[in-house]
Amino acid sequence: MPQLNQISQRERLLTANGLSKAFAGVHALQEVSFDVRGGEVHALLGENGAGKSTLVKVISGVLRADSGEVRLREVPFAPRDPGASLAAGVGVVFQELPLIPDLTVMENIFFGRQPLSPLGTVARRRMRARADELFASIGLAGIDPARQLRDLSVAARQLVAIAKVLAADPDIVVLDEATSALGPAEVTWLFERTRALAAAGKGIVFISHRMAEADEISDRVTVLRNGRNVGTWTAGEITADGLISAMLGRRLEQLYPDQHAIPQDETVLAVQELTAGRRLRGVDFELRRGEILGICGLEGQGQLELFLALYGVIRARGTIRVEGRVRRLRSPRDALRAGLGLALVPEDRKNEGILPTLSVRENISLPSLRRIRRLGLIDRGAERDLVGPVVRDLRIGREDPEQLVGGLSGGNQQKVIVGKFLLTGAKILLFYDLTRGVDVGTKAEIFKMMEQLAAEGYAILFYSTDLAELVNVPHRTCVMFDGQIVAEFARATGVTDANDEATQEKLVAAMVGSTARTDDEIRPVEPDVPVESDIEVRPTEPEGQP
Amino acid sequence: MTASVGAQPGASGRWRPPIRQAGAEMWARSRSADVRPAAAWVLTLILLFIYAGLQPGTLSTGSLGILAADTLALAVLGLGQGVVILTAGIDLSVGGVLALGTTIAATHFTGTGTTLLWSVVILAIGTAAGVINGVLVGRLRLQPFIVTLATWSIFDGIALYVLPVAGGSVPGGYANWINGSAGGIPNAIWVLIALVAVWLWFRRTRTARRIYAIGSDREAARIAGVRIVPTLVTAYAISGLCAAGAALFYAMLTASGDPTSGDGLILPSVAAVVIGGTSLFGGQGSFVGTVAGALTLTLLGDVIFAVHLASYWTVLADGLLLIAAVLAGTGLQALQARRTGGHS
Repeated sequence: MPQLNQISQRERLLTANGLSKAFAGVHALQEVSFDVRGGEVHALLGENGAGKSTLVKVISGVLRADSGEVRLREVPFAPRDPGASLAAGVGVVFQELPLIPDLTVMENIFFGRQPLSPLGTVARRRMRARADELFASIGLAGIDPARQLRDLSVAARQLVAIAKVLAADPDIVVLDEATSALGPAEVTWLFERTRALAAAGKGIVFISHRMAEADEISDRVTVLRNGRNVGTWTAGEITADGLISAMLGRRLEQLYPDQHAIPQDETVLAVQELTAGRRLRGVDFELRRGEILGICGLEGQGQLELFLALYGVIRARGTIRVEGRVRRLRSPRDALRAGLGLALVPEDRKNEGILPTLSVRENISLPSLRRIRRLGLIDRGAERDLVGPVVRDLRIGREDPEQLVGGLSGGNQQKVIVGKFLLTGAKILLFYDLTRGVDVGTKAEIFKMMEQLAAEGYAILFYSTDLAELVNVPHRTCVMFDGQIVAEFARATGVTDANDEATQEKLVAAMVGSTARTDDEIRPVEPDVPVESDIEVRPTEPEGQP
Repeated sequence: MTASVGAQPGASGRWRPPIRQAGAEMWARSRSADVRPAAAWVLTLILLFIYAGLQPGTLSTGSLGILAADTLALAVLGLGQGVVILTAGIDLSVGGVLALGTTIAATHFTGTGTTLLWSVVILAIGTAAGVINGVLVGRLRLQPFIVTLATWSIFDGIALYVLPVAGGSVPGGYANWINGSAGGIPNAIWVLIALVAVWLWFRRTRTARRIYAIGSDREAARIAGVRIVPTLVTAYAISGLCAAGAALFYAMLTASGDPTSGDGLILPSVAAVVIGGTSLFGGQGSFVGTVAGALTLTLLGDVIFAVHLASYWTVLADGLLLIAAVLAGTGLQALQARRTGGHS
């Protein structure tokens, strides 16, 4: 870590002065000033809609500011598009991953500046050599440059997007939510790269919702709130609580609930020898009424398949007992009848959960239409009565059931996904990555909601990529590796240091397949080959059956 | 079993008189309601008044009846097409079904008995054709465009077998029914009213909700327990049934059959749906708008005829209108998003 007093003396690579940007009268940025110096990692924090992405888009030429200016090394900088920005030395890894699925990894990386043969065609062999060279230089192993991008997992695509920017050797690298799709091993790799870049005098802007990451990697932190710069601090100058307060504009009482419902004795879900393809190889676990069971693992270790199999989206062998009865789940309808509900936030956060063109009311009532039919028609009055309380209790958006779901924020869309299953009579809720990409305030609300649901007797299976959540929220956490559950930890009480209590280090150790969990040699395992595990084509499609 | 998470009675604020409450709810709904069908009706009325300015007497019931009769086949076709487009699909085979229907009508309608019998057969064939499309699209997951392009050709082929060249005839009473009236209102207008009524009923069925859901996001609909294949088969069957119904009206209007009659109506059926404000991406739209879209297309031809322009102007104007409608729809949506604070 560089000394604090050094940062202020470093060269200002990029300076933003009084940037303002409004959309339809709503201020996304108001007089935001911000600078990036050589050799620093500058974290940019803020809730969803605070203006982080808008700021990045203005800097990289996607959007034009209404007023204010950006200077690159004291020269006015207004690139006409991200390509021009990258050419000038400001590279942005965008949250939306602007990659082309039908091209190969290397074609994506060198898109627009492919090496050409004398005939003007793309020189594939030279491009391949350059890709290999690039991957070796940045220490990225396990991704075949000749693979089609669409065959890659979301995590691997994220790594390709990062590699694409690094290939241009920019002076400033902006990572917008680059870690949200990555597992711990890939994050470790990214942090190593980030530190190496900073050591080489580059400036890095790091945007993340994961406070712990920002804390670990950054030299300075800037917090945006409602489009304004609330403050910039050097590392160590402000506590995590202080940062959260700055982001929210108020004190967050608590990110994680401190009162935990006590699970009841009754087992509501018992899974034995659940097997599906190569990704799910004999999973056993039990879930009790009122219990929150966490699931974690590196990407592609069978977590997604477990959730899809439990919801009947993919077929699996093995036994699933719901409240003691063996159920065969051949379709989501079967699962709904058996009392399961799947709140799935897919990796790209774009579909599978919500019906964007329909209203909140229509989204929430869809799985429960049979409860509100009268003479074969939908009884609108009954529908409103059914949906209204859910919209209010979960505090979805403006609590207006007629709002189109496509216009809601990500966090509110996630609440809609949960809300619809509360009406189906589901007793077991499958939450797959429900907290992905939501800000800390919404996260706190989601955890509070989960805690209350558990207290009401719902059993919740909770998958997350954020280990801090898994340590703090579920009663127990199971770690999956290679299609099986390899370890189980209880929630940390903070009082004792028992072996079976979850810590992030223990979870990581189990996730990378270290079987040491009962002896006392537990230590964080730093995998030396970071991305080996997640470059396979997903063998199962959520569709593909009648 | 309903959620009582964080239940806060009266969380929505202070008490309001029931009437004001209801008013507020209606206002809230209207803000998020789709305004594009209404916009299509505004366009229709503008065209109607332009036409009335050119052709005095246009606003008489008789003239409106003729306008409705001219629009009927397209409107019925658009009803089915619209249902398929709501699923984010498209049905080109409506042209083949329509052609086949008119050829059967022109060759088999001889008296009251045969007309009734063969009408039922035509509707059944249309429905079956739709079921075939639905199975190919839903069960086998083939592209709707290609599937219905193929079945369009197949049904056209059968139509050519039934009646190789345009001709044949239908009973005079059958053909004249369209020009009749009941209770002072032309039959064609009654039919349009009935179609809208059927739509308003259908819109409230669970099937309709599932169709919208699939068009909005197929996977999300599946996760919510919607059975994709039966719902898609139903949507395409409705389209086939409507195309057959359109054939009956077309035969009425032309008093004959034509194995190529459908080809010229396929794209107008899509255009009527789009001008009526239905999204080609699925999940959004209403037949109420489609009726306006169909009327607009008919009126446009009438206006161009009335100002003595050559008929190719009609075709050209259709295209311009379609682009204008799509632009207006996009603009309206952006406006609405701004008004409701949505950020889509």
